[in-house]
Formats: sequence, C-alpha cells, structure tokens
Amino acid sequence: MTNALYDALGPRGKRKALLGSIVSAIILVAAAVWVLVQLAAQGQLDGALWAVLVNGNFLVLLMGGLLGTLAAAGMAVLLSLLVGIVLAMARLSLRRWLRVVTRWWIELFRGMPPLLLIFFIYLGAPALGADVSPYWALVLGLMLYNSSVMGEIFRAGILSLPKGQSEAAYSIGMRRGATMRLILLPQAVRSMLPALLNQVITLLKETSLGFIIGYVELLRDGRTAVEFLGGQYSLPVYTGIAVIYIGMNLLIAWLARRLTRKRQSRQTRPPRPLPPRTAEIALNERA
Amino acid sequence: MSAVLANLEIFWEGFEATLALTLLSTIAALVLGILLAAFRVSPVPVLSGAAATYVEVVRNTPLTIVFFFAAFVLPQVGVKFSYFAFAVLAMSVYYASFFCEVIRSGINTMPIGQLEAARSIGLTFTKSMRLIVMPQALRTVVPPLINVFIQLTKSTSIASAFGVVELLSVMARLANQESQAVIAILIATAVFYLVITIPSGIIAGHIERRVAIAR
Amino acid sequence: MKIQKWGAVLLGAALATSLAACSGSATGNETKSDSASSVASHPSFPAGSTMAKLAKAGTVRIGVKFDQPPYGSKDLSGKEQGFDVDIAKAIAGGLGIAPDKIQWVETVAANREPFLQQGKVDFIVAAYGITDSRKQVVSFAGPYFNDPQDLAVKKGNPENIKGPKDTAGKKVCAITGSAVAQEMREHYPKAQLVQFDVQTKCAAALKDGSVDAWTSDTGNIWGAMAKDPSAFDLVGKPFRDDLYAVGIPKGDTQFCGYIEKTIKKLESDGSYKKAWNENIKTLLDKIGLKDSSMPTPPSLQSCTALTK
Repeated sequence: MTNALYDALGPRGKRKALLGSIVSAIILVAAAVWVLVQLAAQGQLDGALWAVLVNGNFLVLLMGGLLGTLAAAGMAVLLSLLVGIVLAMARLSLRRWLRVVTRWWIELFRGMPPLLLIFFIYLGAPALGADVSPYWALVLGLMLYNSSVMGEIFRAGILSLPKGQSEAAYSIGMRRGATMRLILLPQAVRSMLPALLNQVITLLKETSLGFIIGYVELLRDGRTAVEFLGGQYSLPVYTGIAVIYIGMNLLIAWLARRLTRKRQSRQTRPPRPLPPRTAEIALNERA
Repeated sequence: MSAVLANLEIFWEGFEATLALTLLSTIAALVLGILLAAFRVSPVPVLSGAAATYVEVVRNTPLTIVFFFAAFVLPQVGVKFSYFAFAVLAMSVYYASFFCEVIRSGINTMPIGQLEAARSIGLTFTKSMRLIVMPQALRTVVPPLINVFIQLTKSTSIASAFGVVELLSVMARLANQESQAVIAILIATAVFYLVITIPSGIIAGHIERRVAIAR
Repeated sequence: MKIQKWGAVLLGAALATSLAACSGSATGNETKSDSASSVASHPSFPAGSTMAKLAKAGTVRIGVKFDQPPYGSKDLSGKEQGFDVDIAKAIAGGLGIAPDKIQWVETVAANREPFLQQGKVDFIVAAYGITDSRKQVVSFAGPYFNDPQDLAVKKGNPENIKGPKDTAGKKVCAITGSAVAQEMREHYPKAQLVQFDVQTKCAAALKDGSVDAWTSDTGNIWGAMAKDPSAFDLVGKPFRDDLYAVGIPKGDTQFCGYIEKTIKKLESDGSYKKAWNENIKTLLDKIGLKDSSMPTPPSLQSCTALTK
C-alpha cells in the first residue's frame, strides 16, 4: 500500500536516498552526542548516581511497585473488556432507550479525568455504605473510564464487519443475542486487536493515578525513592522506570502480534475458484 | 457549593490555562505528527527508522516521564523556556506519536488508485504527500484524531506537577484551602473538564456520520 | 487473550512470593533503634474511647507523608522514617501497638480531611499545619513542632534576596496547593509563583536557575541542603509560623487528651530530643549551620475547646 507512494528506486533515486540517510544520520548522532556532553558537564552522568539502578534495595522497591502496577492493571483490563463488550452490545441494541442511555453513559465516563473518577469512588462508596480498598477504587475507576473507550472500539469493530455475516446468522435461525455472541463479537475482537492493545498499554500507564488514594505502584515508588535520595538521582531513576514501562509495553505489543498471527493462520483457505461462466452454462441456468 | 462559587474566578483562570495548553499542544502535536507520518512512509531508511523508533519509545513511556525530561533535563542542556512552554513541548512530543500512528493508518487505508494516479502523472514523493495523500488521509481519520484530542485534554492535568497552573493545581489549592468543601471542588473540576471533552465527543460523532455517508 | 492475562497474574504472584523471600534478607541493614517508641504492654483506657478501640484492634492506620524528608519518607527498602514518623510511632506505642503493626497510609493535600472524616485513617502526622479553615472539619492535638516558612536561594544569592519582600518580580517556587504557596499569594503577590508537586523539583529548578528562590518550611530546605551542600543558601528570615499537629477526627476530645499527654511525656523523657537529633540535627550538622540546638517545643493547645 505505502509502496505505491514511490516507484522502486532507480540508480539516481538510490543515491538520493543514501545521501538523505547519511545526512539525517549525522544530524541525529550529532544532536545525541551534544546532549550527552552537556549532561556530563552538569555531572548528571556520574557513575555514583547511576549506580542506584543496581542497588538491591532500590530494585526490590521497584519490583514491589511493578507488582502493584500489574495487579491493578491486570484486573482493570479484564473488567474493562467485559464491561466494554456489554456496553457495545447495549449501544447496538434494538431498543432505543437503551441505546440513548448507554450513549450518555459512555460520553460521561469517557470525558471525565480518570484521576477524579478514582477519587470519587474511594470517597463516595462509604457514603453508600460500602467500604472500598485503594486497590478496588483504582481498578473500578479505571474500569469505568476504559470500558467506555473499549465499548466504542468494539462497536466500531462490529459495525465494520460485512453485513453478510449477520444476515447469514439470521438466515439459519440465530437470534440477535446469539449472533452477537457467536459470530460478530469474536470477529470484531480480532479486527480491533491493535486498538484494544493501545488501550491496555494506556491502562498500564494510568495505574500511576492511584497516588491520590495512596495506592503503591511503580511510578510513585520511583518518585518516593528520588525524594529520599535527593534530586540528583532523578535522571537515573526516571530513565530506569521509563525503560521498564517501555519494556513491558513492547512485550504486550509483541504478544499481541503473535496472537494475531496465530489467529490468521487458523483462518480457512479461500475456496477454490469456480469454473468460468461460459455462455453454455448461462443458457442452462435460464432453464 | 458556596466554596465553588466564591472561587469561580480562580477556577476560570485554571480553565483558561488548561484550554490554552490543550489547543497549543494539539496544533503542535498535529504538525509534528504529520511530519512523523511522512517520515515513516518515506523511502529514506534512516528517516523511517528514526521515526519508527521515536514513536515506539515515546508512546510506551508514561507522560509524566516525558514531562520530567522536558522540564528538568532540557534546562541542564541549556534550553531555558518557561514551564508553560515546557509543558506544551512535552505534550506535543508525546501526542505527536499518537497522531502519527492515526495518520499512518489513514494513509494505509487510502485507495491504491489515488497513489497510482499520483505516480502516473509524475508527482514526486514529497509532492504527492503534500497534495494528494495527506489531505485525504487527514479527512478520513478525524474521529480517531478527536479521540486523541480528548485524551490530550485530560492529560494536561499532569502539567500541574511541573510548574503550570491549570485546573488540577487549582483543585489542589482549593482543596487545601476550603477544607469543608473538598467534594464540591472535585465535582466542579470534573465539570470543567467535561465542558471540553463532551462537546468534542459529540462533534466526533457528527463527523463520523458525515464521513460514513460520503463513503 | 484471557489466558495471557491470567498468565500475567500468576507470574506476578510467583514473583511476589519469591521477592518476599528475598526481601526478608535485604532489609535489616538500616534499622535505626526505634527512638521515641517504647511499646506499652497492657495499656488501659476508658471504655468506648478511640484509644481503647485501637488498643483492642492491635493495629492502627496512620496518615503520613511518603515523600517529604525529614518528616515522613520511605527509604529504599520501603521503611517509613522521619520526625513525624517517630512521633507517630510513640503515639501508637502508648496504645500497645508495635511499629511493625502500623499501617502507614499516604496523605496528600486533597485527601487529608476526607480521609479523617471518613475514617480511612485513625490520625495524621504529616507536617499537618493548624489553620482555622481546617479546624472546621478536623481537630488537632498538639502542636508538636513549629517549622516556620523561609526562603532558599542559589549559593551566593545572585538575586540578592534578603527576605520575602525582595521576591517582588522574581520567580519563587512552592508546592502546589500548600499553605506556603497561599502565604505568598496573600502577602507577597508581586512574586511570580511557580508550583510543583514535590520538594526535589523545587530544589532542582532553583539549582538550574529556572526559579530565583524556593519557599518552604525550613525543615524541607534543610533536607535539600543536606543532600546537596554546595548548591543552596538559606536566607534565614523565617516569616510565617507553621504549627504541626496531629490531625484527628473532629471533636474527639479524649483522643486529643491522650495524644497531648503522650507528646508531653516525649518532651520530658528525652525521646522528643532523640527524634529531633536523629532526623533534623543530622541535617544541620551536614550543612554546617552554626546554631544547631533544638528549639523549644511549642505549647500545646487546649483539648477541651474542640467540640464546636
């Protein structure tokens, strides 16, 4: 597709591309070197500071935070997916009142800052008689927001399926609920996997909002460590944390790609082409 | 409730700052995102590789850490902006990666005939990007772009931890001051955010319907 | 996809158990002798009082700061330490609760009063200053410390700031939403206020010249100076008293009485001085300030006037 943007490069084109590559590479490397030199001049690259990354206690602290992040993110993802599916089906319901109410629910929760949602649940639940732990307040807050987003993603996925799918399902006697459940949803999930994964990654990063209710997770632990050690340690600590987040997210993206590849290989091969419709066959069909 | 009304002016200042931050960052991020998308699909391998790396790294890092690098590492390297400027910089750099991916998916779903026609009348890569590809790609991906915009709006709250006075820092200040009305202040803050995000969502719905009919 | 998610949860659980085994040997290298906390063995309290309930429960939830040394901070092994923490441990000790049975909860500006009102914490010792507005929703026992607001500047005082009046037209850093920031807004509005969420960011901004001064309670400035001795100067003209007290649910006069009794005991039997030495004097020695003697603790406010 994008290959149609430019023809296969001829000799002049190849030279131009090579020149472009070399020039951009020089610019990028020069900029990187200049930044590092400046940082070193300010003492930011001192070995003593970066040694904190291999400090046993520090790593244990980060691991504890990481577990907190994963525990909250894992549960929130699960619940968001389930509730998201319910919301998508409600949005596509044949009953108008359900569609409208769901639409407003989604608009409301999608527009609220998740931070405030989490805080409201933590403080609001006791008013209704239930006591919520920081973990559940965080998970439910994230779920309320992300289920709305995922609901819209599922809905887009279902709407993008060829109409033939649902028509075929109705024609063999399936009711709407069964059609949704057995035919449309599985295919929608498959096609919307990249967008859903984006949400999972966003969710992982949003767990850091738990700070407002005292939930211990990775980013907050990093900040606590910096406050304890001193501001000079912020660069190594935050770089280390960035690497952890990037690593986690790349892992999730890689898992997702493997999943789609497996699913694609399980699809049936296309049917054998029919014999061409010669005039003879067409005439016979008339009869 | 009276605490909210008494401090309406302060809320309004924070709201204005949030709005300014949102709009400026969106424009900058969009421009940068278009550029990145163009790099991504270009024939120069270093450019497309660099753009791909940029997007992968920035997209997978929490925005807080991007802010940290903008507000505290850049001054060390000699870049001295105001903290508001650093905030716009951080948000643009971060959301450019999201805009880039959305635009790239728009480019990929374009009918091949468009690209082939551009090549057949001899348009160079840059010309076909500028005149044919980008205008159409952008038009088709307006709903996802608006979704990213809504996320951008809400994440402006992170700027409150980095020297910018916007809605969330107003909330923190008032919550500390008006100890009896903390819940009311939280609700008021949420309403101010919704004022930006709900209309955006509705606009996205309208555009989605119009584009669908056009197709 | 669900299998992947359960896999992640199981992996997390496995990691947790293995790390728990590891961390058992990792800690234990920084245990300060718990200075101001001797745990009472079988304390008795009037029936129905908060103290009796807590002593019976055997555990207590205390709101502290996790990221504000020298008052409340977590060291790298996750242990709470600081001046406020020592006071809190002493209060818990008087209830017969050992330090390892304390649940430390992080309290920030937006959640202090709601947490007390809703009973999410039993009391708060977190650089919590007494203000009239807060007295309407919670009660205070104490105060136990006065940490006045002051200014820090870059070493050598390049902007020649001799006191808060000199901040007019200059960029001054403070913590978002703090009483310190409010003071600047009310009495020194010509200063350009720049706000961050933690102290180290203000210190970093001061160091790299993005702001001209940093205002905070003196203890925080000492903390930053101790970690980076050649970077800052203290202006040394404190201009607003900040009385730190123990935050308790509104109207609990009995609890207030018990806490103030504990504070008086600490001040008389030398534990208060020990806590001050371990947390604050060490900073002053590192900085090399000439006068490092402990200030007299502030006089306690009356408990009977609580229910209003």
